[in-house]
Amino acid sequence: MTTIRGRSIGSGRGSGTAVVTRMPINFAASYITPMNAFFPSRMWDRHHELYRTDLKGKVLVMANCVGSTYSGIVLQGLIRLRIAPAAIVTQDADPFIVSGLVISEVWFHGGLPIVEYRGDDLFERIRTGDRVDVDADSGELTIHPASS
Amino acid sequence: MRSGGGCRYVLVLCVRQLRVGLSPSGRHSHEAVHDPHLVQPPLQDTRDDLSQAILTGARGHPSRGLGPAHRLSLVKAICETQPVTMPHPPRIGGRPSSIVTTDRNMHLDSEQESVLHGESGQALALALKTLIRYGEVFGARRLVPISSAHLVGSFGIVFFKGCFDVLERLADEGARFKVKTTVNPRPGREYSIINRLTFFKQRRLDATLERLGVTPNYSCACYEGGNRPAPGDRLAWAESSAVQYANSVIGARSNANSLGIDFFSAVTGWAPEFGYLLDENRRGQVFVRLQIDRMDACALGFVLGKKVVDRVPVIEPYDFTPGDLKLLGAGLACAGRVSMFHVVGLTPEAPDLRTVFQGPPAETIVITQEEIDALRSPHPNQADLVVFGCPHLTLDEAASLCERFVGKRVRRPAWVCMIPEHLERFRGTKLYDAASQAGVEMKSWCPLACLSARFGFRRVLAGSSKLFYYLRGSEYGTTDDCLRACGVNR
Repeated sequence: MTTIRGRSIGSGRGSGTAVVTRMPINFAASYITPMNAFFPSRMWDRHHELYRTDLKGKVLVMANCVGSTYSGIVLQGLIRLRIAPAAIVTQDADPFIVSGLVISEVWFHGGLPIVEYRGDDLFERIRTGDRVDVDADSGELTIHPASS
Repeated sequence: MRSGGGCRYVLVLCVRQLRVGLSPSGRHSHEAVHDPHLVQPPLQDTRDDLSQAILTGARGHPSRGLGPAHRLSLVKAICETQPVTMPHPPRIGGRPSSIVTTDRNMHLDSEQESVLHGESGQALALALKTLIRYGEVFGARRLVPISSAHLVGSFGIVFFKGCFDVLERLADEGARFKVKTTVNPRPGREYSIINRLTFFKQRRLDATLERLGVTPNYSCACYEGGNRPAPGDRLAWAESSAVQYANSVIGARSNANSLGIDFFSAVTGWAPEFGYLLDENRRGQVFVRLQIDRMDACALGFVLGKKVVDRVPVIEPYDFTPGDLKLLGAGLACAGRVSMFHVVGLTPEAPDLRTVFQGPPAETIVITQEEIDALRSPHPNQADLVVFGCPHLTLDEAASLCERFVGKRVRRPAWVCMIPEHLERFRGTKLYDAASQAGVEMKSWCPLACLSARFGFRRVLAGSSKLFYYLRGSEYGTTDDCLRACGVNR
């Protein structure tokens, strides 16, 4: 078990199995597809390595967001529908992810634990399958490696 | 096979829409007002009340509203991309979002305090609170007055319910845009049945925006008509290509705001000060040399955007036309994340290398003819549709394009998308009639939104790298390629 500390962006706590991707995520392309009619919590970006992965209840460990300025509203929709990841650890809290979170918090009372960890060692420390506890109030990430 | 699946899909959509229309739970538009979860506690301390809200309400409330999650479905992604080719892991440092600090001190003046305490209405207080929270994450110290805004949320896509709810609540509570506010193009709802379903909420959205007092330009090239800022103006614009133009070519200051933040800034008249509003983030970071004989600004922007990603490029002296700069910026903004570029000796903040870099350039990159040629479609003559105008063309640009068609006949459908107001002026001219007779269709809507949910027209030849990037099944062609595909070049 290791603990690392990042910067708190959202608030609250969340834990779950880590899904790690170095590829930037385009929320708009991932969640606004016809397939989301049947599997709304899966991401359906054909160009992404997480294609078809169900992120609900997982801890998403990602680099940053790319794509449309609509991304924030998509994230807000996910939080409101309660199909968002349990927590997000991002290397870069960019305007897309922050705007979605803030609109959700202020207007819809739906927060999400989001922690920014800028170090490049993020992807060595957390691997897909590890169990991660995210405490977004203190910015603390507790990692329980899957192998041990 | 393909079209069979498509028909079934349309059928499912129709049935679903009908159900939505008939059932009581289908009343989406007024939920914002009546939703008990939107009733706010009195605003005392921003942070306390936020965390309270999160602790009590975050997970607990039933997710009414969007109804079956499945309404996500109605949309063919407007934003589908070509394969992601950003470097992994992404570059860190240099962009506005990297100048974050951990201290959270936003200084408000007395007017802002009073708005935050609800003296101008609850909705406006929430809008300001959103801006403060947002700005604090990026280390903004204060909110600065803006002189104009430009919104992206012009597509009445059924999924973006949260956005419509917030807008309607603002309008219902009497909020109005404080500054001149223009808006992106309409999505071409009237184009097809599938578009009518996808953009089901278009009329309602238009009406809400008009209640809020929008300047109804409905164009992404707002700087060419209706909303041209002066150098040094602070803006809260959201359309990436427009922000790029305002920052780089005009010398105004705006961040590329995301949907939501743009209209909160417009109704309050303030924007958090960070990123491209500050001098230190507007300097050049990469020097770009050109080894190009046949200039294609649109492709150059795209190739450059992929290379610089989030650093401000400074291009060596080259005599671009204003139209070139517009296309260059649009390409840069979609392939990369940068909202500003300089051309030495041409753009206002780059009179010479010394000024723009404040020291020697850290890195130099070279763009060659082969790189920009690689973007061109190898088979432009197999296209089913040719589209010009993304971002929207001005009257002059459209006229010089249309002159090429006079007295000829297009070999395949060709669209010219232009600023609505300019299109009105264009109508009734001889050139307009001549181009129409040649088979060119002049449109005022967004080709990307309109064609995203298309049937037919499987191969689109885009005369713009931005449209090529976002539109599934499209290929890029230079203006000459596109004209040749239409059968009118030489």
